[in-house]
Amino acid sequence: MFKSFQNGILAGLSQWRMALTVYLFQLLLAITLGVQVYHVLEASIGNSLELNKLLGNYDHTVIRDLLNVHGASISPLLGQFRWLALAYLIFSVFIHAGILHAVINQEKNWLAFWKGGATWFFRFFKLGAFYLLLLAVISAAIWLPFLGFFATSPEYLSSEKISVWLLILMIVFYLFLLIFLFSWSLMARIKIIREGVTNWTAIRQGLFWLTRHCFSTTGLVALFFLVHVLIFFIYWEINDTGVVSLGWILFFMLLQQLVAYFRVMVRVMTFAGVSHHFAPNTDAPEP
Amino acid sequence: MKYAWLTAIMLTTQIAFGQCDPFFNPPLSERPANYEIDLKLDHAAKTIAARETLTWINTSPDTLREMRFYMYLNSFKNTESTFLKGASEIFGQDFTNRKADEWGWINIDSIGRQGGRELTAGLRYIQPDDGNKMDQSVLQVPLDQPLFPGDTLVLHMKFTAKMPKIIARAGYSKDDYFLFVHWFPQAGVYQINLDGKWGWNCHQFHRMTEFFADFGSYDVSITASPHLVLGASGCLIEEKENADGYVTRRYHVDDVIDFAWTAYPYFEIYEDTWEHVNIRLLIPPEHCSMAERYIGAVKHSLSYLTKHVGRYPYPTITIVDPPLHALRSGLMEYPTLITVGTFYNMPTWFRNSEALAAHEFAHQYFMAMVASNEKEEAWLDEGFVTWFEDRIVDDAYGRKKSLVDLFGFRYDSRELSRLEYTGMPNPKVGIIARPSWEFVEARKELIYSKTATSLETIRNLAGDEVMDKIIMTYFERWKFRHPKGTDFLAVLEEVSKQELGEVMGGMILSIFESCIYTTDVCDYVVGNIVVGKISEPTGVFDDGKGGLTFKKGQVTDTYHSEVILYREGDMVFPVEVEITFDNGEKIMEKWDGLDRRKVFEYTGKNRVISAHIDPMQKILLDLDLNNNSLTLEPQKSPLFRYATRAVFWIQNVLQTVGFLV
Repeated sequence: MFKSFQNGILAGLSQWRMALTVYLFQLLLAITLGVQVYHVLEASIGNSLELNKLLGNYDHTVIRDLLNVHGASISPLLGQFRWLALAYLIFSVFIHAGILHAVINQEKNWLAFWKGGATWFFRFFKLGAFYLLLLAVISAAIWLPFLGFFATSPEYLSSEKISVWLLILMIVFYLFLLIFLFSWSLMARIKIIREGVTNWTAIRQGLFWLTRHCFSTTGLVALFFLVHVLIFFIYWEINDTGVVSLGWILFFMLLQQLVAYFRVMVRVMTFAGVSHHFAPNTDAPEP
Repeated sequence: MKYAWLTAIMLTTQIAFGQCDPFFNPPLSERPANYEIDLKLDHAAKTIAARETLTWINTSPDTLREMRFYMYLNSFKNTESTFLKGASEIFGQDFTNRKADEWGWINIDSIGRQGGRELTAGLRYIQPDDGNKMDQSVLQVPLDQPLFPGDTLVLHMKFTAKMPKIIARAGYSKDDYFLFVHWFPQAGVYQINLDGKWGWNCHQFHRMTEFFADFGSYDVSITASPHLVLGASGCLIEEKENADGYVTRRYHVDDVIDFAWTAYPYFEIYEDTWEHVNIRLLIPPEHCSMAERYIGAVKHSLSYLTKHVGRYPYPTITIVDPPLHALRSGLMEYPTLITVGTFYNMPTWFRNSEALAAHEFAHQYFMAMVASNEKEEAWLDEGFVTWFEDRIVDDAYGRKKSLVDLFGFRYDSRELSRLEYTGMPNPKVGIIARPSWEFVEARKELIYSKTATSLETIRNLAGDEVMDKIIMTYFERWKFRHPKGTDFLAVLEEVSKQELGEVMGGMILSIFESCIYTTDVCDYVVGNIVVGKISEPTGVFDDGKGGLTFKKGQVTDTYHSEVILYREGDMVFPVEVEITFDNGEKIMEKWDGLDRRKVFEYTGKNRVISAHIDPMQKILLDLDLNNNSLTLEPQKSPLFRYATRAVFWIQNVLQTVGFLV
């Protein structure tokens, strides 16, 4: 597992150009909304001296007055964001297919990324729909009864202590399920690229792989997940300090973009790590 | 016998509380309504059987032929009471599917006058507010003989009360938890009412109203199972174990308007002292991590209110934190007993529980001592208390972060109060000064938040010292009495005129009156700043010889700047306007705020670059503080900062949404 983790990191680093491509695409999409956020803020409170209060720290009064008075200008942006996220979800199928194709075939040129995306898009689209549906069903099956229990638990439990610990356990369990689902969907896609099997076979064999090597695989994915968490933790720690000059703002913008780029990179690393964890044409992890 | 060990522990803890001396001599109030109650709790049946002796003094100039009593528990008897009629839920709680033993009621089994006749046969429920014959929250007791001014009436009664499953704070919950509030026949108030005439003030219990009663002494003996840990208003002065194994505890408190008590087997008791005050916290084991935070909040409240309002005279304050299943009994105020509320392991960055403790404790001043009518003029207690809650919490935990402080997201109590009011969909929905039962919406936003924000605005205008003097004078003059809104206004006028002069004092009174008695809103706006260079005269001019001459004037280095201000709200405030020029010079202008539009003009070598109405943000009632200023040289950095942050979070969401495909 640790060897695959290490290998994933190295393979991911070597695919920095591909990660950069994905990152730039994300950035481009985000900027289309970011520019609108800028203009809405400028039109709403751009000439107010209160704006200066937002330079140092968050100011609840300034933001809430802004939302109270100019909420109607801001809500269309949220609508746009929802559509953007949906479009990106579909495009993610292409991006992830491209990344997987490149890391499995150990090709480091852009052409491999585009080719992989184009080759596997439609098959992965159907596969993705299956896993999203599964996620929705599992989430509903877990959370609806639990939240029902949680809301009414004061009626039959003497203390909420039990409910709180159950909630924490449920969150941990759900995270594990997400990791499991992610690993499963990844394995199915790897199987399709490597062996060209049908979607249904890939789903079955992916699950078979995963159940046999559940802890090593989910552990590997969890390690990469922890890298995401670590990146965010570092970002929060630095971000909490007051920013009062343009120089600092530029510095933090660079830091934010570095974090965004690293998150893409970690995704590539995760794909490479899991791909490495299972040697081609075998049902067992690499020794 | 199985509870013997528990009894021993409780006796030990409660003996320690025996230091508490509840007797005030001389009395702090007129004590027109005094109660001696001896009751036994049947915790299994959720009932109490009690004997009550009321000693009531007619302090009015009228001869009375009847008494009136609040019978609050009857509001929870069925869905036809005025409290429940027409509602499907109370505070988010569905009550329509209650079982038979989950309803509550109270009944006087017998009543008689000392030395007089039995009065039981004449008892009659009346409905002075809405005529709803099914409502039994007010009881009329015709007297056999008239009660003359200054005479004392002694009534002996037996009553039975069945507690409901918790509703509107009163009742029982699982595991033998009880909160006994408004649980006994309590005399109404005979006083000079808002119409200026003497009469009964004994309203029915409406959904949106609280309570109103007279001052007096309470001596309450509670007999209950020994497994129950008790907490009550006042001091425990006597305790004895009975032959049947039950324990009788006698509590006494002087000069209060009500008596509340609680029982629960699993309460843990924490005790502390602040100067002369015993602080006693009853808290379930799962909330014990909050004990220090609650006691700290109450101690800070005691200290703050003593400094800014007056002395807390009572020797005790009991804080009751209900278990979560009984949270609906929390967050309420009773004399020398408050209920709070929290959740297991409440994080330290969220100080809502401390704020609630400060709020409920502040009610000891505005409700318990300055006992205004909570039913008719709720702003006099809830508004004042919210204002002090904001001040206490912000003083204790810091401005801009006192309530929430997590990862840079932070705000304080004062901001929250203002924003609750200014964020209303329609801040003109109604006036504050009206009976609570007339509120169909926005009760909290107006009574609590708008009043608190109005008081803070007045404080900012008058200054801390003057405001302290106003509040302290009001407290000293009206403690242990029943002031009305006009009484506070009289003190406000008197002290502010005395301290600030006729004009400023009159202005402060007028502003506060418009806050409370009108729906006017406040919104000042810097509309525009127009700057241009002055040109010399240009055109065709008489040459003085009967002819015309053309002159083309040159553009000079002198600027003409106009600052255009608007008053968009109806409320009128005199405001300061800070004008900043391009050389950094700042001048402070004053605008009486009367006209809808005001223009300040400047001519000189420097041009105006910004204007800021009320730069110190004294007028918190202003609906939009962002439009109070305008600059011609805006800083782009904050916009850039927020836009880049938005981009970053959009990237992160995009990166996350596709994780499974």
